[in-house]
Amino acid sequence: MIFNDSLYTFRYFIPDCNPLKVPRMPRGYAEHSRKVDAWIKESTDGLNSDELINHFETKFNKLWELSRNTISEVTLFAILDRAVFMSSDTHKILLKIKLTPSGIQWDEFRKTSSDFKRHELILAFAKTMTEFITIASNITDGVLTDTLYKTLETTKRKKKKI
Amino acid sequence: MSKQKKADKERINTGVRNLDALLNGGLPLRSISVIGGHPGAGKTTLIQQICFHNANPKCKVLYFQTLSEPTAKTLQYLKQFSFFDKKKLDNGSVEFVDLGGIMRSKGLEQASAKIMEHMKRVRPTIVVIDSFKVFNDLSNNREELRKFSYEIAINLMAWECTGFLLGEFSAEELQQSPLSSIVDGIILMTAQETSGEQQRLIQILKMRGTDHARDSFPLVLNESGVEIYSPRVTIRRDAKADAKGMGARINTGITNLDKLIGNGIPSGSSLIISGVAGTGKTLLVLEAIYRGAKEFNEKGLFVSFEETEERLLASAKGLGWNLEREIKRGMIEILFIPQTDILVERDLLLINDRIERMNAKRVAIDSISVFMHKISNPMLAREKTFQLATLIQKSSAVGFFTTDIPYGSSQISRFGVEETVVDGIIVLNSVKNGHHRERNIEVYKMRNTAHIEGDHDMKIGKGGIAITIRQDSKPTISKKQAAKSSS
Repeated sequence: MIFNDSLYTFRYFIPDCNPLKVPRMPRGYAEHSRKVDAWIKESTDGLNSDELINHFETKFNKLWELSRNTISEVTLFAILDRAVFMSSDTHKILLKIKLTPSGIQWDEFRKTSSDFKRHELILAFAKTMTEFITIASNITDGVLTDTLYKTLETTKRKKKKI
Repeated sequence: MSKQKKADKERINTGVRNLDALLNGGLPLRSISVIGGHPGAGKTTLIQQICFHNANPKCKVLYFQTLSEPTAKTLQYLKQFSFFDKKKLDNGSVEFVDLGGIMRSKGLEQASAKIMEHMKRVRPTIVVIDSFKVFNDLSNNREELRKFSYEIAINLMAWECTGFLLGEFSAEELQQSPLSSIVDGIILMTAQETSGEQQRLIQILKMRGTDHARDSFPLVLNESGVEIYSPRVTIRRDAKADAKGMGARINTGITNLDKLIGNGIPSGSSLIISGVAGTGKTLLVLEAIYRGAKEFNEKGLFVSFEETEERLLASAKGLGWNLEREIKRGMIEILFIPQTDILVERDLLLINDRIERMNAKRVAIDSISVFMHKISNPMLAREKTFQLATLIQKSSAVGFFTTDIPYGSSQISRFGVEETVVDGIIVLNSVKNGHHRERNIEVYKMRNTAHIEGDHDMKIGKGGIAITIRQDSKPTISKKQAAKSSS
């Protein structure tokens, strides 16, 4: 149910308190959302909340590292800032995230995350990751898309080997 | 990847007349542009016009004002333009934010944070900072300014906004500014003397991702906002119009002139009617327009730079023509532009609009020598004549352009270049015979038409122009040859 594609796309349109804010589906969002959902479905099975945070930390670090080769840290920070901000609309646990010029402060987040439910974390980070990939992909006109997708595929393969 | 390619072409329709054509299809979406220029060049009006044209609840505009102009003052001036829509302010589609206070007290860093705070709150599609030049003055050094500009540009990019950074930047300042390398587009708005008049100009110096026009183009500010005149870009020959009008010819309706011209003037052609003052040029073209409406049911436009409508009506009445009736039944329009008000680029588009609106099939320009009297460069005169001829060609009409030449001149036109771009030339002359002056007419050139050459007597009297063809005259080429070359 959590990984239902249409549900995930629908979530983008959950209205917030301001009726004038009409969220619009960014270019490529649905496609990126499907990729992230598929990856999460494959890779998060059986992980508890702490393990999930570790899992997402590894993934975001990887995304950051790969993207940094193409676009600057300043740009990456701006992308992540927007991705987290947009996702926190519907996933309030993300309001606890602090950003630094080199990415998310995971240790700080861990300290406040003991009460988070597993599915909350999955939904929140899936949304953040989709937003991140969408923005990074759009502003590079698709140049980064394959690289970002590869990050997701690598984990899948590793998992299969195990 | 094909989807990405398609997205590449996403553009914003600016809503500014002819600006999209200069940008080769509109402003690239998510681009960040600097709009530079002296105070009063029209920067703010241009951008506000683009903003109001695009703003809606799904495409929000966030307009930051710095120290340059208080918001209340901006609104006061905005109201006079037809693009202003108060509803868009009321429903939050356009939001003005005054950064003046925070900038005065806290400087660049806080201004940047404040901009981001508002961007996160509004999530705009279009962001304007007016004026960005203020940040130059507030920064302690070039590096600080570069860092700040870069941050703003990066954030606009990350938020996928289309951004406009306005400022009183000159061309030289823009060349040296760190902004120039960061942004996608640079548009410069200036004012300078052109053809003897102070003229506002716009030039796109840079716009990534589009093959834009690079020249300066005149613009005016009127109640619609900014209007750009760019006939060089927007008036193009239409191959389809040639195909559509292939073979169609018109008769002038003037006694014996049609016999001189042969099987008629091919539609899409332009003719120069050349002669010294008093040879009957205005009457000849007025009669062609009048006869077209009355006898051939063809609509005509008479563009006059010297004679008012009243004077033309009086002349027509004197010759027994009921011109007024043709005007009343919508067959003829007279467009009078006083010499002093002529703005060549603007008037070309005005004529174009009028031809298209009324679907004119005959167009008289009386005269092109007055129309271009502020132009001193023959190359420019040739270009403008070509653009006039293009208006005619793309409408499959026939153009009659009168031109004055000085007494005793061996030239056919004022600049000696206009005749090279038209399809036909009719020369009117008058010679002294004893105590009298006798008028004559010569079809000097008529492309693809077997015309009768030489001078022929021409008289103006009751009923109009009457031409007596010399008995010994012969066509320049046979009708068969003409038909062959025409096809």
